[in-house]
Amino acid sequence: MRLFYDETGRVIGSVEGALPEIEQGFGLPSNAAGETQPDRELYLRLVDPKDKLHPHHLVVANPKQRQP
Amino acid sequence: MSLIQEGGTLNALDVSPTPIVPGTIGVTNKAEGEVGGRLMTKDAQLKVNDGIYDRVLVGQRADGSYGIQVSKPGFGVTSGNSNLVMNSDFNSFKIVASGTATVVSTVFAWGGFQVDSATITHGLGYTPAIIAFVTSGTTYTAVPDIIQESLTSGAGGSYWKASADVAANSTQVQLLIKQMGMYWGATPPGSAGNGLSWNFKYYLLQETAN
Repeated sequence: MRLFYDETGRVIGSVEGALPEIEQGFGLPSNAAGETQPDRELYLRLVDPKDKLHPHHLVVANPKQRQP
Repeated sequence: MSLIQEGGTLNALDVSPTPIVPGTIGVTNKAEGEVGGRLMTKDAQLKVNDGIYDRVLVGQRADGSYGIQVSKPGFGVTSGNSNLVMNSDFNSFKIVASGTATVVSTVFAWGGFQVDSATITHGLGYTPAIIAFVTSGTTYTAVPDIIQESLTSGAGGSYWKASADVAANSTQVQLLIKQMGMYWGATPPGSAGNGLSWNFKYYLLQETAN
């Protein structure tokens, strides 16, 4: 899973592909400043339908500058 | 022929194959007269029985075709299509990617039209069919949808509407919040829209949209 954040570090999107190459084929959304990947423990919570944690509730610490 | 238990050791308690049809040989993991769920194989067919009904069939069927069928509880796999929860004879939507996106609706001037969107390059090389849902809180509705609207009647009245939509081509997916505001008084009633954050969930399918 890839998470996308805005200039304030708030997570504003995510994408998960059926295959790694499908997921890596996605580009940066037009309203995103950068992206990150959750660690394994967070990923398991994000994909658990019973977990209340939602990508839009996340804030990325020290967001990177948007890649050219 | 006796059944071989996992690990390759011959299990003396295993029973010999049970003929399923006179003149043919099949294999089952239950003794004659033993109740309960069982696995049965014969020729090119595998069946799982729950103790009463054949609930799963994999392989060659009575008509000679090959497939997979799973029945509802209380029904057998040959009791009719309406009693199946899965049937490989019928295609189903296949999800190749899923994701989320947040689009903020911009406050705009009355008498106009406003579109806010998030555009995502998907790299699939075809135009995927899309299933999408949207919310500004916790309850999602299916896209496209009129997500908000407001009508003020009377001489100085106005109408404002916000809708959610989704579009795709062979390279991109676009998630949109569209707003329009009209008034029929002498002056516009302030600004239109409310600047909400709209959260989309979307599913891109292997099936195409064109």
